[in-house]
Amino acid sequence: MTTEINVAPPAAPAPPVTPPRKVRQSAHWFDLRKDIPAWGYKTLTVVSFLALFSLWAWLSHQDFVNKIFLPQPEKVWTTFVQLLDDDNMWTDIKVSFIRVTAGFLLSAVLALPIGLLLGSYKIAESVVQPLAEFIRYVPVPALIPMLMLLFGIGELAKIMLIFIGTFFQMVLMVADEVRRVPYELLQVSYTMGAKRGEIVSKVLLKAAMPGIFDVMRLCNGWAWTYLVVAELIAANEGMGYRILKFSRFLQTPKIFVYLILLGVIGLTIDILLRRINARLFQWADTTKR
Amino acid sequence: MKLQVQDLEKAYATRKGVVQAVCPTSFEVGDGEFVSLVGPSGCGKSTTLYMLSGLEEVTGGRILLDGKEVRGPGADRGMVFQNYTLFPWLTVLENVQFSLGLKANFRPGEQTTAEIMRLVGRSYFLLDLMGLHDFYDAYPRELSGGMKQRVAIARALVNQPKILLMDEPFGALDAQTREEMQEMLALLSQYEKTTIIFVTHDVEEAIFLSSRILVFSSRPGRIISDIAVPFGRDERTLNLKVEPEFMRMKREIMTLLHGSQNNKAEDRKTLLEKLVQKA
Ligand SMILES: Nc1ncnc2c1ncn2[C@@H]1O[C@H](COP(=O)(O)OP(=O)(O)O)[C@@H](O)[C@H]1O
Ligand SMILES: [Mg+2]
Repeated sequence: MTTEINVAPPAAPAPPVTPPRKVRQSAHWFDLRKDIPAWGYKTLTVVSFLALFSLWAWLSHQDFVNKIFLPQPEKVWTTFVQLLDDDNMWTDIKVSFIRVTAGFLLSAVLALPIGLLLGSYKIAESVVQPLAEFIRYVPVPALIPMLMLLFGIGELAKIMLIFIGTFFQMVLMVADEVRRVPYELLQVSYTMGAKRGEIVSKVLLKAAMPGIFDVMRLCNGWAWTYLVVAELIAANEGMGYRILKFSRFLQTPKIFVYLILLGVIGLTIDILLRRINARLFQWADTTKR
Repeated sequence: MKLQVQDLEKAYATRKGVVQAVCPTSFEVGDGEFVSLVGPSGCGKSTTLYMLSGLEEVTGGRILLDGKEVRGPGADRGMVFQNYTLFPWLTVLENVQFSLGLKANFRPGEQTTAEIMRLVGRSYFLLDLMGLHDFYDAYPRELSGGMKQRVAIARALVNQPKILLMDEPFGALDAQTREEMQEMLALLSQYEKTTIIFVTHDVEEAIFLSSRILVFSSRPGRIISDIAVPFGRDERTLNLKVEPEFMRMKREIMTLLHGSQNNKAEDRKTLLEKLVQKA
């Protein structure tokens, strides 16, 4: 800035960039929404898992608890080690993962554009929203006969059940995220000459994207909870199918192995999607949303 | 450029009945004028501005821009809002260049590429002028309030609108940043010669920036005075604010504003007396 007019106020220099160093910061353990130290967060998480585990271990060793209903952790562990050699378990995991993911992706691919329209145009809302709210309350297992009639008893029927279980929720939640975009952003776009279609694709979708991604993460969790129901339909493999079979024979240690596996799979996907979200949408100030 | 406002009126239908926000109002704004609308809070300044932008429908009268009636918003009327309205997913530079990617602004055809290149150049000049050279790639959440508003002004100006509408753009800033921004806007308008309509409730700000001030009465708003500001555009430095003539004008406009609120002051006095008695 040498010859040009000195309009730029000097009060806003670039923030000085210094080499990284430790900055002393006091911890805010009980402040609303404030970060706590990372080590503290991780420790507390581990402690909560350990607490649940200890409660289980302790209860399962008490005389008043029937071992058939609550197997002991060591028994579950030895069962797990046995199952590791059992090809069935790996097939179950693979088959179920594919079913859930296919149903979920189908939901996501359709819910994104439909939810976007729903959140953007009241006319679309009036047509779809009440209908979706209605269908959302229909118990999914009750739809099994109809699904079998429409899609047979193969993979498609199972995928469609997971799709139906998640789709309507997802559409409504995507629409809500779109509605949450501040109206001022639309107004300012209009004053720059943007037309409606452009605002939908260049403003509403972009602004709502981090929230939509989060909706997808939540719905992926729900998709997994429909697995057992989906595998009620003429399945002969899959984690849900296997759990049903185990429970028929009261093989609780095996059930526990599968339940813990489901939890681990779900948690892994969740953490992965969270990471991707944070990476993709670095512009979003997640702490203050 | 010529803006004609004829018997402009706004009434809102609410649960309690019809609220008259703006009384039939007429005025004209010529090329290169910097017109401030001042008036007490709630008198309809923002509503008037939003009607000019086309974001708010008129319920009476009409607005003509270069003889053509204004219907709905368009790129020929840029706007800067009081709240921060940057797109948080775009960097500073991408925000400023947002309008260059819109279909309506550039129909495919001859000259378009050259025209866009010129405007892209403008986007850099504007940002540099605003002291944002080191922040091209920053996201809005990394900026201070003053910087955000400077980006918003650059974004509104890049496409060279016929008229720039500003709704208390510095209202949320601290006093010092506010003065810096006023100086910056004064210089910018002196060089760019953009026609600006500027809403504020800060009389000092209005005199400092404008070539003309329209004073509104309290609600329902109507223009009670149309004052030409005698200072030249090159006189707008912060020293101006302590000139006797400046102070005199300020007092004159303040009196006008308070005059329209006199009875309120009386009411308040009796209420205060009662309050003290109770205690
Ligand atoms: N959507 C609305 N519905 C009803 N009344 C409104 C609406 N918007 C504004 N008003 C009323 O119109 C008047 C003028 O508002 P506004 O233009 O925002 O005032 P100013 O910007 O001068 O402070 C206010 O009294 C306000 O209550
Ligand atoms: Mg206002």
